[in-house]
Amino acid sequence: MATNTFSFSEKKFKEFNLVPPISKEEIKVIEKRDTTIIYSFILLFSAALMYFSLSMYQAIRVTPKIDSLENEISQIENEIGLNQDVVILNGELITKGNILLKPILANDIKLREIIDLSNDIALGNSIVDYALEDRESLMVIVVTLDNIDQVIEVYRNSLVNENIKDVSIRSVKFRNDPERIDLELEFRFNLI
Amino acid sequence: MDQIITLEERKKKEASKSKKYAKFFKFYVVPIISVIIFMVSILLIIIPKFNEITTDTTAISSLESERSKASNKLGYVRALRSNQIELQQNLDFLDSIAPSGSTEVIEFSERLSSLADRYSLEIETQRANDLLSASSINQQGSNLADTSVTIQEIPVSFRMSGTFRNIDSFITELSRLDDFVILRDFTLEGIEEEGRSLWTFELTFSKYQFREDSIEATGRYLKISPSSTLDSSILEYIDRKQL
Repeated sequence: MATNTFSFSEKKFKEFNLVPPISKEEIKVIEKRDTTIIYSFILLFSAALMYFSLSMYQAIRVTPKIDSLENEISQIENEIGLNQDVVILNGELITKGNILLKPILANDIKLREIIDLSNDIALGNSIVDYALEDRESLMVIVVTLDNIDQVIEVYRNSLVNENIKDVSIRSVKFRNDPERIDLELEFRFNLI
Repeated sequence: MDQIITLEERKKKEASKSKKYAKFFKFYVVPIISVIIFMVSILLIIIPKFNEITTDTTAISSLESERSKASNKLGYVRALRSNQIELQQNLDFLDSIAPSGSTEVIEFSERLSSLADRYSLEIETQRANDLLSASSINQQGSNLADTSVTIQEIPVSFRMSGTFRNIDSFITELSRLDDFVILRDFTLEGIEEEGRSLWTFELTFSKYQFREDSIEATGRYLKISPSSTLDSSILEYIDRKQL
């Protein structure tokens, strides 16, 4: 009695190949056609070409540009150096001007102007005391007046004077002999 | 005969072996070596070269900016050169306000004394106060950090007496003097004495002197940009005074 048996080999099943085997002649042809060496040389050549291109770019564009700029800058600086005297002159002027600016020039008020200004404020009445208080430009005058109406008149006149500011009456004193009023007025200058 | 066969076989074997080596060399050694050489040349030659060019390009842009700044500076320097006469006049004016000579104060006090004599004013006291330190002036004024250029303030006080008319004339003459002084304080007070009016006049003014270490000062002046200009308030002041 004949028995029908089926054996399954996993190994054989896995090794199943759809591609037909290549003959030795075909392999020879493939090997002959292989271009690996050509590509290898192309790779090396491309590296050399890249280096050459970069070097050429540097030599033709970059380095001359740097040289030309350095040359231009050196020429400009040379010309500036030749004009150093005028730069020093300007520097000296600015330095001295800045030093003088605040503490000095801002306080340049002439005595004559102060006296004249005070006389303008007093409206022709006699001033018996003038005093400029230290560094504050605060001027104090004592005006001798005949009556109280003149006090108001002088004060009003001082308020409309454009050359002074911060006007205030410090004191009003009555004198008996001779009968007079001393008005003590303080103000700051607006002359600058 | 057997020996010949063996020799041929050996030759064939050697030929096939060398063919095998040649194949190995062609398909593995040459490509691997060329890839290695390519990579090495990229890393050691091409990338550094590229970096060098990039650095140079950056240097170009920084040089261009430097050139542009230098050109601007040159433009300002040329403008200064064309205004040199005006600059010199302004500087001369500032120097006249605060001269460098140390005898200026004494000379001015002497001029003041002779002026008082001319108007029959009696000088009761006259004194030069202590110098105010240069640094204190700087703190008040310019906030300059260095002391290569400083200014000294020399306060001088006078007390004199006379008639109002004479004092008034003295004040008028005082205002006409070329000397630059700053009035610090004054008192003009009238006193009735033996039926006549006598006035006393107390005056404190300050005179200024520049002090500069010429070498350090020159260095400082050079550091100031040629594009800087004098403060407009000073220019206005100079214009007003020079009219």
